[in-house]
Amino acid sequence: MHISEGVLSAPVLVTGVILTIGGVSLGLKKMDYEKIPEVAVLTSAFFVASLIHVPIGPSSAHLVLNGLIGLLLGWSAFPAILVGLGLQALLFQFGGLTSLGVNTFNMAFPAVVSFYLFRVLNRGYNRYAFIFSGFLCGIIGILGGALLVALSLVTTGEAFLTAAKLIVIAHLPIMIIEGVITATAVVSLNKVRPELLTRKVKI
Amino acid sequence: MDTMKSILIGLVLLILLSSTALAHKVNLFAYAENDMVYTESYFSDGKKAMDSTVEVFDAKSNKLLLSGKTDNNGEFSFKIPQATGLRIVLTASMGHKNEYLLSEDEVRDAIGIAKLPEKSLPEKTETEKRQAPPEKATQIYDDRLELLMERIVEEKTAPIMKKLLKIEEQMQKPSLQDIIGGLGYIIGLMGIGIYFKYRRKS
Repeated sequence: MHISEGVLSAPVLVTGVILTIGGVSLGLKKMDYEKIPEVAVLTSAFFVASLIHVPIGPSSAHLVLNGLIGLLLGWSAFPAILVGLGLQALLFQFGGLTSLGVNTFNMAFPAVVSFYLFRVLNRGYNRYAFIFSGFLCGIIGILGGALLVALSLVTTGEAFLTAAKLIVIAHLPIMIIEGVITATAVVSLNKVRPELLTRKVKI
Repeated sequence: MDTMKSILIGLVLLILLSSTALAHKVNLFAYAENDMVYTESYFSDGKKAMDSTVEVFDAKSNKLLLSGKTDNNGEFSFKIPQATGLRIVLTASMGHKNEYLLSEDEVRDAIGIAKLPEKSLPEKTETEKRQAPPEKATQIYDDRLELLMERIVEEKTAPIMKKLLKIEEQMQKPSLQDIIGGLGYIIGLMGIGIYFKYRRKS
């Protein structure tokens, strides 16, 4: 879901940059000393995840992992995704430097949403709710990203509903896969490193 | 540190996997032959970019010359509209875009060869030929012979051109160095982050 260089108009690009700057500065402020290595590891995961292509469905889609990253990092997902996308743009020519702001916001905002979603859904410390919320966060990451990409493309003349439908359908397989990956990751982290999670349960 | 270890192992696995599976970028290649320009387009995982818009611009004046849509093989071809450099822009779905620049020389060559069957080069008149001393041996015999040979060479080199396109396509893919380099940058940034946060604390 990288938007290429020269697709979007200037107002959209500028809006993306401003929103991303806000998110990144908030994320950096909330990043503690102890959290930095975790952010770096998840940035690396995000950076290489885009190379894992899932050959199911009508279009070309790859892993994003923004749901998982957001769930673990909260607002710090913004700097992590900015660095990941920046390196992908520089080294792989995915997306572009001018569209970096928009792309970062499109991927990082759903990540932050899944962070709060995970906290809210696990108020009851129920084990099934715990697994389900992990699955849901994986889906929200991709679904939210797809909808934001469609929204960014509206200004280029693509009608929102058609674009959104196309992008969401293309990413349905990825959504399910990311849901499963996120749920699995959350369950295993809960076992071996519960301190990484904002909410934990006894399983 | 068990989790860290398992995450690192996961990362290594991801890198290994990535050499076969690739991701999100659209590629466009074009070549001119016999008065026509042929374009091929696909996503970097090899899937063809179907039903995507192709627009052809004058490379210098940026004027839109023609546009069309790719077929089910991600291919689109058109007659050369004019003998200048051509900028071919592909817009695929979901915000993917790429372009390919076809040089003026390449376009001119393709036109020259296609005009062979009718008559010899129109730009060279009889008087011009007499005034200018022949530069190559073939010119003494016939301009037609030279053009004919060019055409034969073009035909014979077509498979090589195809191979070159394949190589160019390979070069577009992220290499292992890119991936490892990127991970190195992230570790470096982590170091910088730790350095600054640590100083602030103590």
